This record gives sequence, structure tokens and C-alpha cells, in this order.
Amino acid sequence: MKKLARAAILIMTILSVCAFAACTGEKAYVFTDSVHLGSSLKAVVCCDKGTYEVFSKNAIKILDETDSEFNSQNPESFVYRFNKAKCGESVELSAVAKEAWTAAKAVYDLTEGAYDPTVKNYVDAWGFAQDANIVPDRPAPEPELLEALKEVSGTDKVEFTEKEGKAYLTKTACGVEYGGKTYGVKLDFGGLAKGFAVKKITDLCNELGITRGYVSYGSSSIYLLKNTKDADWDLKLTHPREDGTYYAVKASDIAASTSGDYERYYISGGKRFCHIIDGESGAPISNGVCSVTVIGCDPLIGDCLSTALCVRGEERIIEFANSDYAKANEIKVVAVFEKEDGLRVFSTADGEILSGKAYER
Amino acid sequence: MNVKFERVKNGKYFLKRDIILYAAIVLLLTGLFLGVFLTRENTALEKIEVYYKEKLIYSYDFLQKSAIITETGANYVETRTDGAETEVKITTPDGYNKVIIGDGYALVADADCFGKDCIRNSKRISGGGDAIFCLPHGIKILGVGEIGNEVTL
Repeated sequence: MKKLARAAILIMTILSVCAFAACTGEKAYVFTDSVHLGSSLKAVVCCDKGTYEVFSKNAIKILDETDSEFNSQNPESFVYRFNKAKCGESVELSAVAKEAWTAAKAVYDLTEGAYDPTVKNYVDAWGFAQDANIVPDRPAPEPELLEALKEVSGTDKVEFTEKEGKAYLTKTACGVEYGGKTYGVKLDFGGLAKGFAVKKITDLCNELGITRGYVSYGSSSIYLLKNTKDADWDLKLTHPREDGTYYAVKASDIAASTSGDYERYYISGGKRFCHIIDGESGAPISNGVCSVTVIGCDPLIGDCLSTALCVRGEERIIEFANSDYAKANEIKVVAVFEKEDGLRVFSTADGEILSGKAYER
Repeated sequence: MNVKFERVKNGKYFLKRDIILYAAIVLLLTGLFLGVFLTRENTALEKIEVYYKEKLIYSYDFLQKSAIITETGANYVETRTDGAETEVKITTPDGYNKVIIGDGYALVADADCFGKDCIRNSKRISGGGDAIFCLPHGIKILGVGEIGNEVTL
């Protein structure tokens, strides 16, 4: 009996030492990438060295795959091949492209067309192409061009079909001529590519059993695991007009996506022109929405949704935040509106527009 | 009472070698604990590292208050110390970035890149895991040290 007790104590002690040693084998690794999708990714992951090596190898694979499917400059990408296709031509979607298209279409339907993946011609016309050097005082495109581009914009100009287990997108609208140039239907998945990558890398964390850290892409998409001390992160939102942040919330195991008029923009004639295009007018948004953050969505959907809400304007943002859909899916919205007398912040948590300056809490 | 005492004495629950073993275990655990906690990073920002196209060109150690310009960095990095601040000018074929290193922080004060994303919104490195990217110039500035609780989107 005595021997048994001693053996039990010894085994428990050895196990405790092993567990202690295993815990201290973990550290917070910082993974960065700035060669894909024209933006920068940062992931903080708490794990052991071996797990981090597997993580970084697979994260690069995910980024390669995402970039090669969504990069409109890459001749191998689905987006490039579709944009080059002729009227009536079908292009096969890879699994990645199908997932992206399905999410984009779902948000298009949910927001009555406010998120539109076919606005690429407008994006280019306003000088916000992926590789464009954004310059101030850029002349606006001719109104006649914007009118002509309506012929090749909208998801009704694209048909999705599935046949024998394969998915296809077909251009149903033919090109339109303007100024000696032919414009065809073009896709732009720039608005969701970062959310897609964040989602896939978060899935990778889950597969590897990484529970502490976060994955963020540029300043538009983030997934928060637990913080390094296994508690909530302090998530702060960038102020759209001033230095610093304007809102803070404690959060973990949740995604957040932000869109706004302050990341890619130029000032021309004293007016701000940003990269978020209203598919209906073909012009950058000018509805007073500075920033919309969606918290609690799948990162892929969230990326599309935050853009769509920017397009929809203040009234519809608040309507969405209070909708059954948002409540059922536990989606929180934080938005900043520019008024004549300053900025106003709306958040689902507060349920109303807060008066006065944007605030931090 | 006497009977119980006798039982314990006869049972010899604590032999001399048991005590030695337990003492050794306690010492081992204490050693491990102290080893980990005395050597852990306990300042918010210990070091910044500057990379050009993923190659380390410069690092500044806040604990030692010393800097290292790597062999690759020798072609691109110039430094100047003015009072409490060190100015690090990185000039590459892609353009220049002027980094200011102060007491526990680093930021990009000037650059000739388009968009100037690295300067906007007073981006500042003040903790481990903080990073500033200048994509047009291929520059990455990374904070090394304990990861804080704040994340900005």
C-alpha cells in the first residue's frame, strides 16, 4: 500500500513537471506577409515551435491559393480568366472561386445589390484599380462612360450554373463600346479576398488546435481567438478622420470586418472620392458614411457586408443592425457618419446614434 | 493517542530517501519556475526589427539601447541620434522611409511612397507583435516583445 502511494505521488509529480514543461514550450509567434493581395497580413499565434512551422507553411499555401484565384493581374486566376472571357463564354469556377461567388451573391441578395462584385469597370474608371497609384485631383470619368458601363454591371449580367459536379460563370451581357474601347463584364473580388484568407487561416488555427492569437488582414478583416492570456482582446477601431481609435470592445472567438472611405481615397475639388463604389450610380459613395464595422460574421461574409452597408447609407445601416437577420446571427454593427456638425457614432450595443464626438470606451 | 503514534512510527511513511526525493522534486519545480519567469520578456517592447524585402536590415534593442545594422542594411541605413530620439533613414532603390525611435516606441515620420499608409493615422509600434508595413517600398517594421491585449482594426 505504501509503495503504491509513493508510486502514485511520483507519477503525479512527473506528470505535473511534464505538463509544466509542455506549457512553457508555447510562445506567441508573429507571422507576417506583405506579398499577397496587395496588402499586409499579420497573425499572432500561441503554440509550440513545431506547430508554428506547420502553421506558417500552410498559411503561405492559403495565401498563394487566394492570390492566384482572386488577383485580377494573374493570368492563371479565375478572375483574370473570367474578365478576359467573351460574351456568352463560360468559365469554370474552382472550389475557392465558387465559395467566394456564393458568398458575394448571398450578400448581393441580402443587401438588394449594395454589394456588387461586378463594379470593376467603375472601380478602374475612378482610378482605384488594384495596382493604381492613387493621385489627388484626378478628373472624374465622363458621365457618358459611367452610363455606358451600366450595360456591363450587375450580377444579372452573370449566370451561375452547375453541371456534372462543376460550377461555371457565364457572361450574359456583351461588351459595350465607348471612346474606341470595348468594356465587358468584369468581376472584382478585392472586397472579399482578405476576408476569405482570414477565414481559411482561422480554420487552419482550429485544425492545429491554436486557441490563442488573432489573424488580421490590412485594416479590413480580423479574426480574434483568445488573447495570449486566454481572455478577451481589446479590439479598437481606427478613427476614420483623426489619429488613433474611436471605439473599443472586448471580444474573442469572433470576426470583425471594417470598410470605410478613409483607406483608399483622394480629394478632388475639395471632395473626397473613395474606393467604395455604389453599383447603382457607378460612383464612389458620398452618403456621409465614413466607416462601418461588422462584428460576429463569418469573415468572408463580413468583408462583403461591411462594404455593402457603406453603400446603403445611414438609415439602412441602422435598419440592418436592428433586423431579425442581424439579431438571429448575433451580428453587431458599429458605424461612423459624417454630419455638418461633426461625426456621429452608431453601435448596435448602444442602439442609437451617440451625439458629440466619436468616443472611446 | 499512543497507539496511533506507534502505528505511524512503525509504518515509516517518511523514509529518509522519500524526503530526499520530495526535496529534489520541489527544487526541480522551483528551478523550472524561476528559470522561466526570470528570463521571460517582461517589457512591452524589447526590440524593433526593420526588414527590406523580407531581409533584416536594422534592429534596435531597447533593453541594451543598442542598434545593429546588418550587412544587407549597410547599403540602405543611415542613423542619427538627437537627444532621446534616434532617426533611422532607410533609402532603397524603391524610395525612402524615415523611422523615429523614441523611449519605448517607433514610428515612420516621413516617406516618399504613394498613399503614405505607413505614416497615416499615427501608426506606432509600442509593443511586441505591432507592425508597420510600407508595401510600395517593401519595408516592414516589427515590434519584438510581450504581446499586449490591444488589437486595432
